[in-house]
Amino acid sequence: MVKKIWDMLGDIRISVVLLMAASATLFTGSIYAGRHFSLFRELNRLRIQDWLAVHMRSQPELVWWIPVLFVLMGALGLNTVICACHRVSRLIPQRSSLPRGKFFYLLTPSLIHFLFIVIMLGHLTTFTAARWQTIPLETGTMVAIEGKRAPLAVHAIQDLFFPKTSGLRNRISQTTVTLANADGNDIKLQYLQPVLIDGQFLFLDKIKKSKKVAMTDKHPSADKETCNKAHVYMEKKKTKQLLLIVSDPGLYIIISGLTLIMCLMTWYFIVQNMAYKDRKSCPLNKNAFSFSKG
Amino acid sequence: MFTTGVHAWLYWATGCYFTAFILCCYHMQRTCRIALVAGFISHSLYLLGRGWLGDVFIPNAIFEGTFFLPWCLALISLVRSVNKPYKNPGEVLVLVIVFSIFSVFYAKGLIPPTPKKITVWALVFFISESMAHAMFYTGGLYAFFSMVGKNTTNGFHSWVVWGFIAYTIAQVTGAIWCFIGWGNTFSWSARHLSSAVIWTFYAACLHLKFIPGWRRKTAVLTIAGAALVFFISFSDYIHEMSFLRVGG
Repeated sequence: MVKKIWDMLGDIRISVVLLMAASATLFTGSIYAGRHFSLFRELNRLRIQDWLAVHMRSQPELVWWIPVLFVLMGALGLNTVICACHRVSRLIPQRSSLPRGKFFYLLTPSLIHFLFIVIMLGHLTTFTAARWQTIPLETGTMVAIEGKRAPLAVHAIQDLFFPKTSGLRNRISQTTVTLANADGNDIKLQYLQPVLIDGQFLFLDKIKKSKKVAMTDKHPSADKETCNKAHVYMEKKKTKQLLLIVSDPGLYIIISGLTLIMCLMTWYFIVQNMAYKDRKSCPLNKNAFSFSKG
Repeated sequence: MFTTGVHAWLYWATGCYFTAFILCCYHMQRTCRIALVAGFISHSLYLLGRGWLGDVFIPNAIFEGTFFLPWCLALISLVRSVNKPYKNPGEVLVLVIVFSIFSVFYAKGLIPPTPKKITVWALVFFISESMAHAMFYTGGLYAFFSMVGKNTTNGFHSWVVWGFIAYTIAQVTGAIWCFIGWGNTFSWSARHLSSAVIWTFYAACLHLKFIPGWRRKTAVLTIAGAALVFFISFSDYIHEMSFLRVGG
């Protein structure tokens, strides 16, 4: 009975159904996220349990799909582990009888599936355990970072603009913020160049000062806000320079998992393609890799 | 650059693609290939010129999906006509023409980039995403032909596989770009969620091959996948038409 349930849970048909269901749920979510940009943007700066605790009570009709997505991804994770374990347990006894390259080739899809689980777990760690802290920056002030004993001094904030003669004049091309730590050492921060200090990443960010400013400038209100922030990075705009501090324990799991999965996938399909061409050019070659039963 | 803001290069490229298609219909393969190459060169020069729309070189405009997608499809058509000269390149040319015509009527300026968008990660993301879309559309087209009986092989599966790899590269580079720019590897925005929609859909599609009774459904799902990619990406393109643009 247990074996029957175990086999059923690892069925590949369940994988397809779960992936389709996850795709449909994400599609629903993308529609909600498009219509309520500012509501879902908060989720990028809060732990999911904290955000859900508030919004599941106040706006369940907008956020219901997130718990559904987590349940589906959890079920998909379980299905993937069982399915990959089945495959590996069938492959391991053949290890000695197969050439090393072919054994690794046959093992690759299972490795990809295990890596998928690792990436999912990395995302779960980020969603539930990461911390984001946003601090306004002004020259001459001190910045206190959580978990860091001595505050940092803001020495300078310098905006660099596109050339005056270009069509992008008055637009910021880069900003350099100089912070100084207790020892007097300078820390230079720029967009897209985060700095790692005591296990925390420091980023630059920028927002409009208030909704009122946005209304008078004929820019979209908070509800109609979009991902296009071109109007925020301009000269003479009432904007606030921010320091974003991120502590994300899932980051390295996600990035290394994604990189490995991409390399393995590319390698697997290149070898598969080569084997297919080999078989096509020489159908009687019995020594060529036969992957059809893989 | 001499092609910057000169849309005649794009119109000429579209005209060449259309001519190539007509020639293909009349089985004039050699002249068809010449017209295709002429269109591709003109299209490449136009895209390069887009880099200077803001009077300073911003490569983001070169890889804007609306303009870069038909170029990717033209590249696929060109590579196929070189690799498999006995095959009719006209099939993929239909897609090249449809998407080129859309780009002819699309807003041609540059969306002013914020400092968070000027990075090589963004470029790799846009290149791999457009290439993946092109492969998904090509897969959808061949799946359609396999269903109506014009092509009995399951050649469309390879397009889905390579499209999926390119799309995974886009997800990896996108995650890195998102982290260094915004401090999140996954953002809860419509753009990221719809990328995940496409990725999970094609992951399901790839698994169908291993279910013997469901193999026939693969062609249907490959077509549905191409339709999904079209709906999601073109909703974005149409939405972005209202954004303020510079040059063009």
